[in-house]
Amino acid sequence: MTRRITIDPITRLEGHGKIEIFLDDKGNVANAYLQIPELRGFEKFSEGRRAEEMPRITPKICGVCPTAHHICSAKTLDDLFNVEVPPAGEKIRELIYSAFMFEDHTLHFYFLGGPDFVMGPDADPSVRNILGVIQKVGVETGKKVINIRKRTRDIITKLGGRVIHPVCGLPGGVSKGVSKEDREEFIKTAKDAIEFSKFSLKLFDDIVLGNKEYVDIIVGDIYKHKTYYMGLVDDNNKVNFYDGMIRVVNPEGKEFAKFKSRDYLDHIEEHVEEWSYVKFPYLKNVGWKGFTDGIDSGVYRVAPLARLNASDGMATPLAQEAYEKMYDVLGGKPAHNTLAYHWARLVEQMYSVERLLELAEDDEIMDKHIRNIPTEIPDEGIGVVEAPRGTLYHHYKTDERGIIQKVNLIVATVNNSAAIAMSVKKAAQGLIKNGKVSDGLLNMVEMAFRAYDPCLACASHSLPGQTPLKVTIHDCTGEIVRTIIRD
Amino acid sequence: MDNPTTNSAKITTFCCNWSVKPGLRLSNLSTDEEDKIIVTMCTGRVGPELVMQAFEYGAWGVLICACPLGECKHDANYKTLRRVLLLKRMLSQLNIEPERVRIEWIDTGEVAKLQNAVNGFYDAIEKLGPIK
Amino acid sequence: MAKPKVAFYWNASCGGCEEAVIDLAEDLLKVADAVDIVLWPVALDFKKKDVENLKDNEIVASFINGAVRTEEQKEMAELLRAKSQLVFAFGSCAHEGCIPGLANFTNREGIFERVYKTTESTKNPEGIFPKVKTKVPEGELTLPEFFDTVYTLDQTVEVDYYIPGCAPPPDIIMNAFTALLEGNLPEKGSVLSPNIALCDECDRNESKPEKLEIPEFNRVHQIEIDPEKCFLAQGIICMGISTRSGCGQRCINVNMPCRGCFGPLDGVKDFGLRTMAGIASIFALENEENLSEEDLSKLMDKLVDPAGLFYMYSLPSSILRRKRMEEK
Ligand code: SF4
Ligand code: SF4
Repeated sequence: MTRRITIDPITRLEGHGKIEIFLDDKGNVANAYLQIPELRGFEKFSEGRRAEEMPRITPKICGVCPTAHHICSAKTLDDLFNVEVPPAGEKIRELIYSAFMFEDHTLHFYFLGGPDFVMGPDADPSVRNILGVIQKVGVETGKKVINIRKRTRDIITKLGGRVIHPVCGLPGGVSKGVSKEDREEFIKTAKDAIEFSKFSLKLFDDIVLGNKEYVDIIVGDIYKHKTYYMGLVDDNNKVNFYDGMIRVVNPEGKEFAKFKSRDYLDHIEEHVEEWSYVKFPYLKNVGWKGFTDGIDSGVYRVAPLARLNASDGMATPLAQEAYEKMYDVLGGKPAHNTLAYHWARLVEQMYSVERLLELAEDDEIMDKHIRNIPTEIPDEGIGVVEAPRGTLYHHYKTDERGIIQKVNLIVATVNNSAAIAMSVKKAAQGLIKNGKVSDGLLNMVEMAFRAYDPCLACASHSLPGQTPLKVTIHDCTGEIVRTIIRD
Repeated sequence: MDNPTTNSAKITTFCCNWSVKPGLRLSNLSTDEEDKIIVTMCTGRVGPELVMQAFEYGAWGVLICACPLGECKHDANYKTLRRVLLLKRMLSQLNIEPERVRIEWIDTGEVAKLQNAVNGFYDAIEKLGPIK
Repeated sequence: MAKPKVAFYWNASCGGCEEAVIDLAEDLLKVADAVDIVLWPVALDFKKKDVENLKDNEIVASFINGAVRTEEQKEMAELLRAKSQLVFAFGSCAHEGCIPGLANFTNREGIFERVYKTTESTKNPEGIFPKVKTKVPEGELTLPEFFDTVYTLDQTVEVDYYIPGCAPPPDIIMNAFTALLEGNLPEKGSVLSPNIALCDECDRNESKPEKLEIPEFNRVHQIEIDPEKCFLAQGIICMGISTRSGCGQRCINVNMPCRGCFGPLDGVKDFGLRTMAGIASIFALENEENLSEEDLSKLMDKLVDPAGLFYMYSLPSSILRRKRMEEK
């Protein structure tokens, strides 16, 4: 008898993502599928559009990380028009980007993923949310979170026009410079944000690392996958969100590839399945071997932990410190522990604001020369950034008038789509034995899923949000045997 | 006026009150069953929304008869032309034959020209058939 | 007195409208205090059944964002309509189709072909496409089917009010909530933002030309943009001429032209065409008398992708709604 478990976030993410788990006749997990039931087709309907409008079109892929698409698109246009960005232009973009990475990581840690840890994985679900977190860490802290997020988002509004869907990016630079007053404000915000990041790391220390049970879960086998890792690095192989080379390490942590965005097609291919609207990227030079990990499988992972794994460290001191501590506890590199994504996210949160401060304090940020006008005939451009949820590629081809002919996108979360399904399957396998479905399954499977901060808006183009789960167990005739709802 | 018994082309014609209407009176066009002829004060008033509304109401093609370029008393026919040119481009992007919109320059008294313009357009649109 | 029941829902959207509500920050807590939120997928647990069990009209107001492009979304919109006294189309997707509505330049087949087959990174020699039903060794998996066309909310159910913008700014959202709670809502069918054109409140309005002397259509990347001067005076298309005000000139503030996310003023049937008509009247040429129709035509060719530009946010709500597709 095959039974089927549907983990259907449909209760909060109507039609935006679901996981199906099938049991074999012994009641053990036969397979798990992550289905993304939505598709919007930006790759197609961008054809015919003006290239320079792409930074205003592509952010609508995702209202949670519009800045990632916006900046990536502007970088793609630099390449397309073959135009250099003046230093102030680059710095302003990176400043916006750093503010964005911070506010987004903060959103995830406090609102979405963090509650799992702060409240504990077996806490009552009704308190495993931001309100529960506020109760536990104090109202003052709650306000702090809202406030610092607002202030960093204000930086984006100031320079990008709209925080949800910014508009300032142009080929060759940005449309608006930084004034003296702005800069002073930014410096203040950055300093406070660094304090806030210290606080977040400390919170993680106290609540998570101070609790042996949590640590055991993090390092435990249920949440482990030995995969390849991908991330952008600077000249010193340090993590960079805005620019650099793409570096891939193998499951043993050895450099497997290092390439420029221009060469992404030599390294990445995408696999199509009939049962999902999302594609499954894999390393071309290893090949698609199905939903499996290890050195022979082309499945790779992206986003915080992957970025740290793929780098040789962080470019700023406090983040570096946090990075070292993390690998100490996890027992060296690479760390394969899916739940360590939360931790890595905090390390990155620190880096993003240390970098924000560096940029705000740099005198050149106020330089008036913020863009160069393209002079060359456009043809083809490829851009890359590290979005909060992973490496993001935009690729445009145009005619000589700069009208889009072809668009290809590999969107952050999508890179992780195979790994997410695998993580869910593994967690399910660990928790479902001989037909016995533990009630704790829901929490635990959800944690596997949430560690990735899967932005289904990017993948499917909807919002992540808290993902309550509904597990429906069917027998082989489709009859519902049991339903468990986490609410 | 739509004639439900025929399948012949339905065209809507917008005519300028000043230059074209006098000729219209002299022609036999206004009694033609299949044509909708709408007299406007100046074709400058015939905005693209109006043209598209004609299509919405079932027209297969829209003809605008305006004063010859440079002769418009309201200096609006260049504007009309620019709009029609852009509209045609937008239509073809939306896969509607741009030939379904035509602008003809007709001066006061050019009765034969008016008649030919309408008939010629009618024939062209009949070949295209209705918008699917 | 019982607090009024309110629902938030999302159809095909990017999540930006949800972020816009979260961005209300402290104000959001005030709203949450004054109402009883019966449905909010991003923050609260939700079961369709709970909504089904409500009495007709029991919800005072439903705020629905996102366009409609699947059967599920349509059903949900209909359900909420039946249960609600008022339905608000929240944000540009629900209001006019927004940028995802540019998908009406193509259809499901066109998108599938590109996304799953011809994209440069895709390896799909067997030509596999996602299917509504798939047999896998363990059983059957299903996906929702997509409409060929993106629909606005009011093409699906009756809408009482519109909250414009991509995304709607906090003050516009708060004004709507306040009007609802204080019983101050204007006439049904209203767009909840001032019925004046963006130009009329734009700082650059003084330099806005009646007619243009330069016979040029510049694109934003092609010229140095003067941050004080009206975009039109610089030959750059700005849609502020026909766009409803209320955004606080967000794009203009960072020296980028308006693309019309707030939609049209009252009574406009086709926002893109209205904008085009406005642009066409301003782009008058100095020596027009010396130009032939052909010259003028060549010049208009420089205004590339007019449909994509003028309909950037509103293709699904235009008269044509979509590109006409060849019949098979
Ligand atoms: S056209 Fe644009 S820049 Fe000019 S006044 Fe209007 S909104 Fe302002
Ligand atoms: S300026 Fe135009 S496009 Fe920009 S936010 Fe305002 S209405 Fe929207």
